Amino acid sequence: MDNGASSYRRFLDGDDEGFVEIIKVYKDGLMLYLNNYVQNIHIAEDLMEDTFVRIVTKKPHFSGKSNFKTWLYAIGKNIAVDYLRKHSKISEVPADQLSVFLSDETDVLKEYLRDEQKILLHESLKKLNPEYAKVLYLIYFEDFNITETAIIIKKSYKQTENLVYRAKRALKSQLETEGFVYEEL
Amino acid sequence: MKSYNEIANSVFERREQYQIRQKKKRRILTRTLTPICCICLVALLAIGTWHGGLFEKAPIQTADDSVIQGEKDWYGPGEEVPQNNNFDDTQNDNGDKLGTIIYNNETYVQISTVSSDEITLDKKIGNGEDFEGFYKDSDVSSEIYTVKENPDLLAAKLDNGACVVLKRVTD
Repeated sequence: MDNGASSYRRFLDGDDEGFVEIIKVYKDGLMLYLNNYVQNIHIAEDLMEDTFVRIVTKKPHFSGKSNFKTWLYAIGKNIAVDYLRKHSKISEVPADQLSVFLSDETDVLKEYLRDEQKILLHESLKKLNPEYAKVLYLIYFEDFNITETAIIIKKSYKQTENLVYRAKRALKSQLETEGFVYEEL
Repeated sequence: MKSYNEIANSVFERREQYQIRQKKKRRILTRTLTPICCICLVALLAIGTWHGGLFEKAPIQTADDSVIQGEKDWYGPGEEVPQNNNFDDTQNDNGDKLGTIIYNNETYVQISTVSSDEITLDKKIGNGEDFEGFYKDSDVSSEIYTVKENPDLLAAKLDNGACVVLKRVTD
């Protein structure tokens, strides 16, 4: 599958199975990315589903200028931003539900990231500025380069490059305080 | 957390609901817009016809609209025609002087000019200059005849071949 573009083309031609493939491949990554915005894995799951519903109902044109994953994550990001705008008041999660949320998130992380070291790295991202966490997630966990990240977060290449640099520095110092070493930093 | 199959089913279900909602919206829109369009069309037609002057009454002519400025020359059905017009009935529409003859103390006024074949000339009663009236001082020489078909008529036969019919004026 060429990052989902051919599956999306099949879906536009009337084959729903094409879209099922897209959901299968991208659901976890998209959900974890959106979780960086809403800090609630269940809401992130709903937003991920909303992203797919938006694509299925509106059938937006995919030009192929960026890769399909970048395009999909950019749509997801817009939906998350819309959600945050509508729900500007941060709702407190009750303490009894918090443990459920955290265990669900850990399950998704384990299933999606598999690598224990990456899971620990993801945990450290949560302690960073949310802006840093978003770009670092895209770069370390979704393997996007700076150009693709810039497209998703709608910033210029230079701004994104600076943001990534500062985010990496912040993560490094965070990991050092936790006594954790990540060789890619 | 949902599996990808559950998510896919949920997504397609929501798509169907969305499509049903869209169809409903379209139906409502069509149902609302059709009568509105009809009303607009009728209104436009009415405005168009109104501007076209179909419903307007004939304009009332004023003195300013008449051929001769200041003189009203047309009267509507309900309007009374003034009686004191200085209308000279011895002048025709072209401003030419109408022919008159006084014969046997009766006045005869020109009513038409016809060809001499159209009437039957009866008895010559004299030449134009023999009678009081238009032909006495006229440059055109003429002969005056009675007309066989009508005793109230006289005919002035002009030297150019035309024939002027004059009718006796009765009170």
